[in-house]
Amino acid sequence: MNNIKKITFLSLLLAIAIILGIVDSYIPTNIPGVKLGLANIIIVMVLYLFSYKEAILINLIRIYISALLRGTIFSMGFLMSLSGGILSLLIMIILKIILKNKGIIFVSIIGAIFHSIGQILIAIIYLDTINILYYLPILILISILTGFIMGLIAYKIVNNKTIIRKVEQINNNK
Amino acid sequence: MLLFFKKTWWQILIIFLIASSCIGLICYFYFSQPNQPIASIYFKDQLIRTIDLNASKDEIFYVDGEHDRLQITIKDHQIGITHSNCPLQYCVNMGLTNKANMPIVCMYNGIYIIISGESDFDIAI
Repeated sequence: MNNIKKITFLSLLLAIAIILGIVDSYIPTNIPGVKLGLANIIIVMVLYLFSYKEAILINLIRIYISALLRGTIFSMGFLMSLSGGILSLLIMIILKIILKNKGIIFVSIIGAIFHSIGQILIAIIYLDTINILYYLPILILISILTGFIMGLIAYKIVNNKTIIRKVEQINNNK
Repeated sequence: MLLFFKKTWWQILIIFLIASSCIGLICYFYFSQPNQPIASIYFKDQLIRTIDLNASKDEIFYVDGEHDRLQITIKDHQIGITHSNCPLQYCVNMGLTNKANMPIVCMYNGIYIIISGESDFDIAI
């Protein structure tokens, strides 16, 4: 019984992350492979409201379920998504520790940059060429802007008093 | 001015990153048209064909990828992948281009087109 509220809350966040990820894929950006990263709002939120364990769990389940729903599981797109997701989350966890739970917008920007780097790394391994690195500068430049916007939204949500109270209740209800 | 210096290192870094991103994107989109664009078509690390886009005539040809045969079109000195059976269709959605700011990539088939050439601006590949 101890963690039912927490599991329910995290499940809701996971569902929102999956829906945001699907909505994201339908938002045209004119640049192939570039997405706003709406689901990253939820991952950053979970990382700051709970801990890195929950963030890793939500991120991995989100990537798998999103790929299952799109029918792209174990495809190249899935592997790129997985590598980007894991690398960005690892960097965000390290940065969060360094910044002592502050700098959510900065963490989001760096996370978005490393998401792109993770994707390009997989593309380099798959295509067996470093020529694909030509694509990295534009991805990084766009990642900075999208990471900033998503980080700003996550910052507003994480600092919302109602949400803070709710999370405190969940964490104390053990 | 004092407020600026009161900020922590990562807040200053955010301002720097956003400013450099905006400047970088403007440069990328406005100065990425080479004078003599040359398109190189690769299958993985193997160069298949090189085309001088300024001297090219309108043409449609096919390239064998890993899973599928891709239709590549040259029209009005621009190049693009116009048909592929890949699931995401990112390569087809890019349309025709002669800009050097990003390669046309079909990850599913391992085919990519890089446009290079000399430009007035250093950022062009």
